Amino acid sequence: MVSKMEIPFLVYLFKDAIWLMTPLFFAAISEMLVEKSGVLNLSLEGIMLISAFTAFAITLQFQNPYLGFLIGSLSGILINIFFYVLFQLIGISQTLAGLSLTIFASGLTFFLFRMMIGYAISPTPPLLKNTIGELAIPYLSDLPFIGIIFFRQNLFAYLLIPLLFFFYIIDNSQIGLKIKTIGEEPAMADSLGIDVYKYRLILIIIQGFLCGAAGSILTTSIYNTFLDNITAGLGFIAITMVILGGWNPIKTFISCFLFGFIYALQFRIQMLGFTWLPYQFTLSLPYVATIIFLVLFGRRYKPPSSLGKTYKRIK
Amino acid sequence: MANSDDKILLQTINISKTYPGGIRALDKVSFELKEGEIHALLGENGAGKTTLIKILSGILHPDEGKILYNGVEVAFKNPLDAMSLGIGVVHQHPLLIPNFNVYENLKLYATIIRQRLKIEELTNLLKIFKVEKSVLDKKIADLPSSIRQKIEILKVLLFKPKVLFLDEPTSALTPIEVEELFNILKDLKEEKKSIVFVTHKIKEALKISDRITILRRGKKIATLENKGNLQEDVLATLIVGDTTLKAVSEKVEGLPRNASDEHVLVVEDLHARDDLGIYRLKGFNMKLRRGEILAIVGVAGNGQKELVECLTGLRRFDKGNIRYFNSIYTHIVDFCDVVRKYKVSYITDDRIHTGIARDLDFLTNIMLRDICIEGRGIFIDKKYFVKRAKEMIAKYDIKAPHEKILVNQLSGGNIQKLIVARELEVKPSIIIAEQPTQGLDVKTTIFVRSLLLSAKGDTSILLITYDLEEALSLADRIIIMYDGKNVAEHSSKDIDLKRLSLEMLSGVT
Amino acid sequence: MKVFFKIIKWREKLGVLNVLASILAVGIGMAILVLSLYMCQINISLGLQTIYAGSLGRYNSISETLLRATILALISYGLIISFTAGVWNIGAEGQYIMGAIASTIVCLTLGNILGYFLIPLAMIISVIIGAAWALIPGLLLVKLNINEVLTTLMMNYIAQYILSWLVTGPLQDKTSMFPESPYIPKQAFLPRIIPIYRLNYVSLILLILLAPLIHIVLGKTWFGLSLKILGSSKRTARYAGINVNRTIIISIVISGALAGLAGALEIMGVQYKLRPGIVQGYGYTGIVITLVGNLHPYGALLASVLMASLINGISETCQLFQIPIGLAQILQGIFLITVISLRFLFRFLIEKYSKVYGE
Repeated sequence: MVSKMEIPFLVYLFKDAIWLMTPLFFAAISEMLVEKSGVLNLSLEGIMLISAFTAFAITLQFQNPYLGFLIGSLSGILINIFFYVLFQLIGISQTLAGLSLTIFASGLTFFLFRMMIGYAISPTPPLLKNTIGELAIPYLSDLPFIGIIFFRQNLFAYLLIPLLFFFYIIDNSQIGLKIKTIGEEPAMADSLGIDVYKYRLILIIIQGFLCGAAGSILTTSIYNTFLDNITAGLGFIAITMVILGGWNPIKTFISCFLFGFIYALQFRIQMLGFTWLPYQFTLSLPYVATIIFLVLFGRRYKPPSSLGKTYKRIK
Repeated sequence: MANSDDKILLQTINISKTYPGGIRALDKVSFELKEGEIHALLGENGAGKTTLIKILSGILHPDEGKILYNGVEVAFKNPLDAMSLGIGVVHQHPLLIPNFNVYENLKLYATIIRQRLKIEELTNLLKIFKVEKSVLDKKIADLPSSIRQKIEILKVLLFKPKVLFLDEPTSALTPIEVEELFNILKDLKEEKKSIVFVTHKIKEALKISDRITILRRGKKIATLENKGNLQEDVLATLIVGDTTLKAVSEKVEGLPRNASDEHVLVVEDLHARDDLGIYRLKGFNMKLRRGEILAIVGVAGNGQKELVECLTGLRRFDKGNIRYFNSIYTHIVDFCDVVRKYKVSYITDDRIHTGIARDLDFLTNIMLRDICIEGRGIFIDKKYFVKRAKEMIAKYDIKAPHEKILVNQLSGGNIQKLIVARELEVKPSIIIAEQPTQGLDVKTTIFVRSLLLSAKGDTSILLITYDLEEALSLADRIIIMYDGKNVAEHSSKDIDLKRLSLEMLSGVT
Repeated sequence: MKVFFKIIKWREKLGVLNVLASILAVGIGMAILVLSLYMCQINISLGLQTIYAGSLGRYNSISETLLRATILALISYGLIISFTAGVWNIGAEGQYIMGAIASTIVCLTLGNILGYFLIPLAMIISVIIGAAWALIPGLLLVKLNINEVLTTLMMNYIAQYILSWLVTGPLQDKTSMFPESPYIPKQAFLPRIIPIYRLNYVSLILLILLAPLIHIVLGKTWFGLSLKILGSSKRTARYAGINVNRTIIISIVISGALAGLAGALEIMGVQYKLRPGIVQGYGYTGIVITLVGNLHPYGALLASVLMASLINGISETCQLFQIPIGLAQILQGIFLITVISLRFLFRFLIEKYSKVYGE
């Protein structure tokens, strides 16, 4: 029996779940396509950190969150191309390249953040005055419950479904078939005239943008500020989403929603003020859930055959 | 038969290709293909046949030389360029994606060559190839190798190429299927298609082709008209180049064969599946006697790989057991245990990915087999191994400047010598040798074979090979393997080649 | 080109080139440091002098630098073992935190009972807990084939929240206004070499003795050989008869154990109580040190002293000149990126321009 008092709680829980899954899905869906082409990008976390910082800095400077978002997303492309150079041109293993970039990004943002706002060990960051907020859709937003959940959402949340649709189409198109071929048998794909390098580079660029967008959303729309390590493992959780989603766009979407829900729960439980429950337990929920879900469902689907292996054309 | 005044469709002039690392795969090869002919390309493994095909189909780019198509010079940037001229290639290892089903694979190919997949054509071809339509929904990985091979050929024919390359197309087919394929090829020839048929089997070349070009170690040796007047042994001499190989076979006959009746390795009723869960071993039996060389021969893909993996603890088996001396194993062999107790060596055929640790140096790689051997202690006696490495380099004629060299700077032949040397130098009681001479040049082949022969007696050798000639020249006994079972056994004294090939190819005894 | 052909002869000395890559990376990092000082409008020689003073210029700074270096080196020694085996344990941070927690709990609960046995016991328990924290992702890797990067990273966050919960809850010092535990008992303080400086015997001995020990294990034992072969190729390891799963578990457990021990040293030799401030990204710095040190214990030893000096020296400089702290963090990122890029670039060039023997 759901009492009248609890209904808004559930409604807001769902609303938050959709809102909070946005950055996760942006990162996860782009990682899905990149993994399908056989590249394991562990630099997601680093990209998101840098773009989150860039978006924050630009917004603070120009007081325009949309500009911040755009530049933040573009910075993601830059970092991801750097990742591509590291593994494809220099030949570093993808795992090592991704991890190194993440560590590099964490040092870089740590430094630049202090450079920008103060010399202290833990500076108090300014809140952004202009952020990208909710966008109520006329009429629809007045619907009971559903209006709140679906039509009084953050601008980016409205992009979730188009994005899913877009990736679903790509996945089932001829291009998708070619991408899957690259991820299964890159040498064969290359011999069939599918330019492995070109495809992977294009996917890396798309991913850089989407992942940068995910990072930018964090600062311009969710937290409205920047903190050290603001991503807090979100990039790695996005990679987990792809595994749980079995490299399928719809299942990845569902996994992301599930984790959006966990994040929402985390926020709402704190707001409810369960004093008996240490807040650290709710904060660690996403990480514990990641491990548990990996244990339960992490092995159901086979990853692309050449995932993580860099392809080198023999001339 | 094609007339000699037919126009030349495709031509190469002085094509050369050197792989990174210095292997000269092709050396100034000029080759021509006439319209409406079947042209056989004959040569040993590593003669440069596949490299030539890859260049003519745009996969590889020649270092020098020209390609002419219809008399016009062309430069293939990628396979698409070749395909758009109507060149279709059936590759040696089917270029099909194991995790896609047949239809997806065909669709992919259609996408790539920018054509539509015509269902009627497909149905028609399936009928000609005697393949069930239901196969379309099956994953390539779940299909037997003969159907895979057919699908690969069908895939290329579907889009009506003007020039057709077939790289060892018969390796996974039964004799009857080969016959069917030949009929299809003859029909295509009637339609004025040009066909290049790559093979190392002289008989097939003689049977199907109008002309034969022979390659040896990257050089063109000859192009001969096949008008029914060519002798098999003449061709064989041209292919191999010298008569040394024969000498080895004769030398083998002279050696004493001192096998005893004690069984050192026994396999009973072995059932095992491959990675995809398909049974590849269906009740295999064998007994290896002390001091003998026992060869297991068969066409590739009949369960040899899985057998070796079961024997060396790399694969679990569902039923049956494997016994090394006194230790019986069910479900899985603890190979570390076997090596420790009985000093068993294993020469793998996957020498680059399995046989060596590529990033490590020569010295480390020769220690590999000693890791498991009993009484080695905790610490490595480096001085001893340095000495041993130096001895090995000298004794086995390994071209390594010193023992600190990284093994990935050695050539394939030298890596194989390293592996053989390492596996022999532990003085094993049993050697499991999986295609020990695959891809080696003639000289190294002879050398490796003589090493195995000289090890015989103290050591029992299980030789797994696809090469009948190798089995005949080395083994005391031969077991024919077909479809996961042992179908026949022969002593080396009474060999009927015809029967042997029949058993190998169709499992009939 | 002639110069290049001379370089080609170096292909047999890839080890030398790897060391060169590390040195060059450190050089580039230093150049960037100087550049940053310049950009912050600090007199460069004065800035460098301050860094020197803050790291190795005074007795106290030597003591502090070596203390920090020990902790970084211990983590790095462990990572050498697991990275050599090709196991990407990025969970040293969490294993270090769990080790610190374990030693605090042992010292606080058994402090008055055990006397002389307290220090060894606390260290042993930390080692066990650190190892156990690494065992979980290890088991998930070998039993369920779950990527160890994801699990070890998640477990870092979990460890961090456990720490945060303990110091605000069960272990909190009721008299303190900060989230921290009470001081551990005096008999748990690691014995100092010079009483007024915190550098203690245990840290110094571990710092110096473990490097040759790891070197011997990796270079001279069959176990070390199997780690190397496993790191080079899993298939080859199976082929050689190495028990792959067991070796993976052992390698990750050793790295967890050493990280746990580092946690104990931080509590019993540096902080003397549990507080959130013990989390300083040592796990990640450890990764940098391991890679800059070329997966070699002596390299790691040098790199950790260097890193510790930079962290201490830069932090003093930053306070003095009011420039943003974080220079050390960005430097470590630069070290990492340059060293791996250079190393692979050298390798790439060598493979491209070297001949193959026996053709």
